[in-house]
Amino acid sequence: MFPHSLMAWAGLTVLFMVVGLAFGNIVLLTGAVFVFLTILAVASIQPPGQVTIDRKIARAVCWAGDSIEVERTFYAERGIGPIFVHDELPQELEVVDGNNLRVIWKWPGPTTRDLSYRVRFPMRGEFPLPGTTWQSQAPFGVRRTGPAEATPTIVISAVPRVRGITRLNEVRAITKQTRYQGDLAEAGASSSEFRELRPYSPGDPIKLINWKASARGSRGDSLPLVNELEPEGRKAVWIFLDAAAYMDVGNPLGNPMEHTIEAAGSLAQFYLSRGSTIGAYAYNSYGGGELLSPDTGQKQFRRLTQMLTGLKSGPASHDMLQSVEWCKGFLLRLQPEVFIITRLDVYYPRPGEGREPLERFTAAVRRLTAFRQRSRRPGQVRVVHVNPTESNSDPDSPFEGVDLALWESRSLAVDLRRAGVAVIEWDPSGEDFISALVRHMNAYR
Amino acid sequence: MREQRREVLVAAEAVLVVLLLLLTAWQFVGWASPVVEANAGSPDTLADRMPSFGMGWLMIGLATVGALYAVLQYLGRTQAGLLLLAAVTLLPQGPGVWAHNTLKWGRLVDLGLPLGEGHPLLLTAVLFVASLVGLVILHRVVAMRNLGELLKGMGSNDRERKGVLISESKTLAGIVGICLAVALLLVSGGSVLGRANWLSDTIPWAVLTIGGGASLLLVGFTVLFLRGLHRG
Repeated sequence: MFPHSLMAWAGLTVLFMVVGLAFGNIVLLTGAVFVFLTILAVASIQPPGQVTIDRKIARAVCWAGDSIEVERTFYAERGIGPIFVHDELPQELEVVDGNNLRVIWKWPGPTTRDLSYRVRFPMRGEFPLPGTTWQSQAPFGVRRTGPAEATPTIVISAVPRVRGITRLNEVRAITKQTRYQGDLAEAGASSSEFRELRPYSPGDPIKLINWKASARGSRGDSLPLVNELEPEGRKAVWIFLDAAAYMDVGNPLGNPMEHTIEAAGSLAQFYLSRGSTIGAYAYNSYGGGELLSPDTGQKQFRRLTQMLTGLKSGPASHDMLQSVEWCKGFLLRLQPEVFIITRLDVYYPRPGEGREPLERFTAAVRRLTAFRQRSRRPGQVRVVHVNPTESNSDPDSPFEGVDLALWESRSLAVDLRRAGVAVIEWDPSGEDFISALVRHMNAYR
Repeated sequence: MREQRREVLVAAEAVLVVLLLLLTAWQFVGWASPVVEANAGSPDTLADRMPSFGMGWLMIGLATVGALYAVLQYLGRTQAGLLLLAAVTLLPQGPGVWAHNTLKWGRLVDLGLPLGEGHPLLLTAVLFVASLVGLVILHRVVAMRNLGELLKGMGSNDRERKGVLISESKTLAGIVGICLAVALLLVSGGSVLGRANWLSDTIPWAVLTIGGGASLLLVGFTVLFLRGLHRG
C-alpha cells in the first residue's frame, strides 16, 4: 500500500490533469506530467529484496565479562534503497565494537557486506540473541519490505568468572585442612593408613592380605582377610549459597549475589582441583532451592558452573535451617566441610523486628556443627559474609555514610565465633575473595 | 559532526521554504498587477508593482506563513506544515494559470475577477513547475530529516547515516532531474506539434499530446496503485 502522502500527490495531480485537459491548460498539464512522472518513478523502484544474512558466533559459552564476535555476512540481490539490519540484544549486553544496527544503502546490483560486531556479556546468565531482522524501503519510502527474520535465535551462556586459585595453593593452612581425615571420602585411591579388616574379594591386591588375621580362621567362609585402607585424602565440601532477593541488591554487575557466585565458583574450583567432592545447595533461589549433587572432577565443575549461571534470586522463604534439613542426607553421608555464603547483616535483630531469623540461622549452624561432631574428626563450619558494599545514603539518618551492614555483620560474627563457627568477612569493594580467604586461613595457621 | 549534518538538512529545508515563499510573492505581485499589454512599454517591473499591492503586508503575511510552518515542524506536524505551504504556494498561482486556458468553453466559468494576464505562458509554466519541484523536494527533505532522526534514535553510526542521506539525496536529484527533463520533452514536443502548419488548426495538438502523455502516465500509475493495493 502506498503512503498517504503519495496518494495526496496523486490526487492533486489527477485534478491538475483533468482540469488541464478540460480547459486546454498547458501549464496545469505540464505540472501534472512532472508530478506523475515522479510518482511513477518512485513507485516503480523496488525496495531491496532477496536478502540473506549468515550469522556466526565463535562459541556459545563465555565468561561473564568477556566479549564475543558476532559475524554477520549480508547479501542482497535486487532493489534500490536503504536496508536496516538489526540484532535486538538483551538490555544487559553491551556492544563494544561495531554496531548491532546497520543501515546499508543498496544501489542496483548484488551487494555483499560484512556487518560483524562484538558484544560484551557483563554478567552471568543465559542470553538469547534473537534472529537478525532486516527491512528495506525504496527511495522516498514509498515501498517497503519486511521486517523479516533472517537467522535463528542463538542462546549464549555467560558463566561466572572464577578468580585464580594459585594463591590459595600456597597457603599451608588450607592445604593442611584438605588432608583432614574427618573429611575423607568413601571412595578413591587408597592411602597407607589402616581402616579395618574385611573378607577378600576378587581384584584385591595380594599384598593387602593380612596373613596373620586370616590364619586365625575366625570366619567360617575360609576367605582370607584383607586390610582395608583409608582412601586417599579427598575432602568433601558442601557449599550453601544464599540466593534470596536481599542478595540481589545494588549494581547488578557487582552485587552480593554475583559475589556469592564468584566465591562459590572459586571454592569449588580450588577443592575440585585437589580431587575433593563438592556438593552445593542454593537456597531461596527463584523457584525454590537448587541442589548440586555431590561429585568430583571437571564434570562437576561444569555442572556447578551451569547451576550458577542460571541462578536467580527469589523470595527469602526458605531459611538456612530448612536447607540443612533438606540436605541432611548428603551432609551425614559425606561429613563435608561446610561453607555458607550469605549476608550476616540481614539476620541482625533491628528494633521492632524479632530475633527469630537470627535464632534459626544460629540453630542451623549449630546443627551443621553437630553433624560434623559425629564424625571422627570434627571440622569447622565456615560462614562467608558478603558485605553489600553500600553505605547508608539516607540524608535523614544519623548514620548517613556509615556502613551499617559491616557493623551489624561484625556484631553477629562475634556471637557466631563464640559458637565455634569460623566467619570470613569479605568486603568485595576492597579485596577479591581469594584475598579474603587467604587472610582468613593465615589467621588460623 | 552529527549535528552539522542535521543542520545541513534544516538549512536546505529553510532555503526551500524561503524560495517557495518568494515564488508565492512573485505570483501575488503578478496576480494583483494591472493588465499588462503585450505591446506596452516596460514600466512593468517588480519594483513598480510592489507599492500597488502593499509589499509590507505581503511580506508580513509570508513571514507569518513561514513562522507557522516552522512551528508545525517543531510540533512534529510535518504533513500539516507541508499542506499549508502547498496551499500558500499553489493557490495564488491559480488566476495566473487560469489565464492561460486555451479552451474557453464560452466563458462559462468566467469568475469575473480582476485578473490580469500576469506572466507570460512560459514564465507561468516555469513558476508553476518550479513550485511543484520545490514542494516535491521539500517533502523529501522533511522525510530525510525524519529518517536521520529515526536512525539516530535507533543508534546507527554517523558514517552510515551520512551515507544513506547522501544516497537518498542523489536519488532524489536523479529522479527529479529525469522527470523534469521528460516532462519538458513532452511539453516541448506538444508545443512543436501545436505550431506545425501541416496539422489541422482546429485541433489543439499541444493539449492532445501532453494530455495523451499524461493519460498514459495516469494509466501507468493506476496499474501500480492496483498492484500496491493487491499486495496490501
